[in-house]
Amino acid sequence: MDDIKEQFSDLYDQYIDKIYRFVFIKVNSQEIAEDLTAEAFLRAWEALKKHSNPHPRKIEHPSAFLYKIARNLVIDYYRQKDKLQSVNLEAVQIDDPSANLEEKAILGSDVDAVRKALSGIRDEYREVITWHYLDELKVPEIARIANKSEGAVRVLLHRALNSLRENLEVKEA
Amino acid sequence: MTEQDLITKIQTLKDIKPRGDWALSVKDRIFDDHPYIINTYQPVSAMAILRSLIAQPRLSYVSFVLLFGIFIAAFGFANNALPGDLLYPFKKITEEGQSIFVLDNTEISKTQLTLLSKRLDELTEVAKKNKVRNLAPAINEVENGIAQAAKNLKKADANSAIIAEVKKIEDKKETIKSLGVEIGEVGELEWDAALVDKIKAQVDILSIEKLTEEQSVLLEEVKKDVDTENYVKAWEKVLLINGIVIE
Repeated sequence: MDDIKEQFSDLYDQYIDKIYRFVFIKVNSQEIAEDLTAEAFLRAWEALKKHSNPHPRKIEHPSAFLYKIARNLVIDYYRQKDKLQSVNLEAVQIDDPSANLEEKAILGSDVDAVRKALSGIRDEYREVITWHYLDELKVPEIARIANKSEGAVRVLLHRALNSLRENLEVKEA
Repeated sequence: MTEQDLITKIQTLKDIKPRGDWALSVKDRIFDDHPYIINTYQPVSAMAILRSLIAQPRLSYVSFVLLFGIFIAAFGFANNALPGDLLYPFKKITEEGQSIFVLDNTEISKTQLTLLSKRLDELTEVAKKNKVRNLAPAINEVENGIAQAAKNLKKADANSAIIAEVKKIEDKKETIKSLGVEIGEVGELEWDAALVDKIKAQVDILSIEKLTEEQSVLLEEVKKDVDTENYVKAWEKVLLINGIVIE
């Protein structure tokens, strides 16, 4: 029991920032991101316990394991809220009561601009950009999470960058 | 904008981080707020196996027959159980089941006296075989039996069957005392009080009746026996005077 607890504790410390950021970029709300991230880790813990019964076992691909859980939770969240389409970030920012002063101070203008631009591109583009350029996942890992071939991921990354650049340039213009 | 500029801009999003206290509290909640997690590897109990067997439709009939068999066997083996043994409660249930339909006060008293006689037999066996583990439960059973018998004895009519049981009980108590086992004083006092009540009530009635010379002598002996605490002898003589017991 202590073995899997220790394993999960390490996993949590290593991925909490990444999973939170991944979820936050998708939902654009601190409160919702916290709820979904907490739920993701709780589900991961439950899954690890089942996986380790009767003998402690290691998770072979922890990043794929956690991102898939988080991704499914975000999908469920939008399904429930009838918000399958991307959220309008600007509207959310004005209305979001949890966007506190500290958060606003941390996130500078560049950050804000990229966030807004990211919110305007397709969800699968947003995901691959987050995974590859923020969380520094390699293409094979992304392919595993997204259930795509490595080639398809490279194409997706190329298109995602172009889409984001266009969006940023439009907003800066 | 070059690709590198774009990537640099994207990487500014690394500033997005969860609140530190939130991250810690979630971790604590996951580990601490789910105490059932700790029990994941607890061994499966025998009762859990039994419950799972009963829950399976195909095995439920077999399980029922098996349990019924075990139950009957337990009652069978319980006949020889002594106080403090695992099967002793089954023996008590069987005995109590036999006396549940008795309604007449005298019959109830007789049944209680018979049961007390059995408890004394058990205590004698425990004392003779030096079964230390069973001694305290056996004494406890005797004391409870005496209290119950004394209570019912007050309500019973005097007859030869009752006095015969009382005599047997007195003899068995003497045997137990000779083995060095002391029965609680409270139970003894209740028992004596019940006997004295029965005898004194009879003495009062007989004192105002016209008795033969022989009956008068016997009545005087009864009074002396009560004074010397020979209650069983006194009671026997009361029954003789009444013609219930013929010498």
